[in-house]
Amino acid sequence: MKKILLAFDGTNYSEGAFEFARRLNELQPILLTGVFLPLAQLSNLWSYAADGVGAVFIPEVEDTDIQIVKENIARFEKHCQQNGIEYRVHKDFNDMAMPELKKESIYADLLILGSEKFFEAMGTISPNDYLQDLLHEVKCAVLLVPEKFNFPESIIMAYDGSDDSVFAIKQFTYIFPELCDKEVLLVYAHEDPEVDFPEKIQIEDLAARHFSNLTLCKLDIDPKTFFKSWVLEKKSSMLVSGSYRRSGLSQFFKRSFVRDIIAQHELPIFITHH
Amino acid sequence: MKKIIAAFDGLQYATSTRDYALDLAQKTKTHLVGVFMDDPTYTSYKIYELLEGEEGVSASKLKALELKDKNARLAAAADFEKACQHAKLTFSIHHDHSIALQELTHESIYADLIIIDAKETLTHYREKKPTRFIRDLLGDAQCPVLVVPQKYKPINKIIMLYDGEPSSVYAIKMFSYLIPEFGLLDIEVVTVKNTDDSKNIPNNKLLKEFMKRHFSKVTYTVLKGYAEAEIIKYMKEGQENSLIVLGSNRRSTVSRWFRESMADGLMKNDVKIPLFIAHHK
Repeated sequence: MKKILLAFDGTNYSEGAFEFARRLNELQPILLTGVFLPLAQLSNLWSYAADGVGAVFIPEVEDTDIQIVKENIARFEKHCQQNGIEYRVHKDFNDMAMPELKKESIYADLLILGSEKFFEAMGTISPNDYLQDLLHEVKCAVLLVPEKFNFPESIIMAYDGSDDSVFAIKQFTYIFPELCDKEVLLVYAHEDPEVDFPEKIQIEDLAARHFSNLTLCKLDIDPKTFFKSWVLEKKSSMLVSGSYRRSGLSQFFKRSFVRDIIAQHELPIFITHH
Repeated sequence: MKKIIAAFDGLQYATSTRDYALDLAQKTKTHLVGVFMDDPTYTSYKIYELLEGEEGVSASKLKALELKDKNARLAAAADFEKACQHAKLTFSIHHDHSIALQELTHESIYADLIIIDAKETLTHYREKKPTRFIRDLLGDAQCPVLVVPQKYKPINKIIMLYDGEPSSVYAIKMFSYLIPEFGLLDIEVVTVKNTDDSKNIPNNKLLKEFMKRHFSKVTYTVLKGYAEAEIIKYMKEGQENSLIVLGSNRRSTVSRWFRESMADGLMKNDVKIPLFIAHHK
């Protein structure tokens, strides 16, 4: 049994994220902890803009918002009861949103976020600064779920030969043993057709232990430009990626391809870093 | 199914690594990989032993000693193979013919767990524990490491060291993912607090909420005093059949000069209990 966090910010309620948790509960019972982060307007400026590059737009205070949060909590509780999910609600936070979520994430196996809804008010570019910071900060694996998706029938594992990508694959198998019998596509992309998988024997050796239905796939395309379009053609799948650990500076120069895929809101994405 | 590495020095074959590995692999139905670190820069003989009179290094003597080492390494691998067959496990054997530490770190990327004897030095010198090799491995390994004592004892209790830091919870998570079979054993969570602090476990509610999902029989113990001293004392009192789960920060060498990690402390004080160590950045 797993403990899964479902984080909602203030007024936004992500149906997609809840739906994914519900499907997981069908496969294996979970404990779902609804984390209702404080409203942006209740927190002071520095809880979001402390890093100097974060969003600086803080919405105005509106009384109706508080009512919406209460409704969201009630909605979450009702959904859980209807679907027979064991649940908890954590809402007694102070106004520091990020440290609280980070602390919660230490004691959880997985954090599910609605990638479209999360802190929608904080910026129009997706993924917004807040979501990006969060991906760097949390202490457990993160699953980003768009509002509309098909529950994965196949898993795409993005492998680039790095420690991080193998770490993500391992974490996926530990957290979702019940998804390991799905069709798994281990993908390595490099534009030169002569180049084969890095450490092919080792990665095959490892992956074959965990996945019964495994295919290794080498794409002769440039991962930076075309991988995104390739992945987005795969409906009903889920992407596993380890590459979200970069310093602010390096991200600035080379956009993480995951970021582009998140922005498309098509697939659930499993992200982890160590 | 998972992939566990049992790492051996073929010249000083550690039977306890073999026994713990077989035990774990059988319980978890795991694929076992025997990694034999046949490091060419490491031999059982010293260079001085080769010097003979005026003519310097004797070629025939060198050949004889090399052959002896080769046979010792083959015999070790053969013993491991036989033990695995006897236990009816799926297994494979890797002979790594390069610098041992780099090879094993590389293997660790593609494995779920490494099992290694605390006494491994990969040199013919004697070293105090923790040996340099183990310390370096713990710093670089890309998967959790189970450091085992020289003598095999069956495991019937799990002790988890918890200090409220993310790394300690990370180790507990990894343990529950990798060896869920041990989740059925008695689990004791040990926390050490300063003498004047309250007896509360840090983030008590969150921890218990997590633990309850993964383990059935959990007890919580709070010790008072200086963490390292108290834990070492505690582990030496009737805990022979336990396994300790602890996290460790990937600390740089310099910071280790000032303060040793708990894992170093436990090995140094010769606590003869397997240590499950998971690293967190």
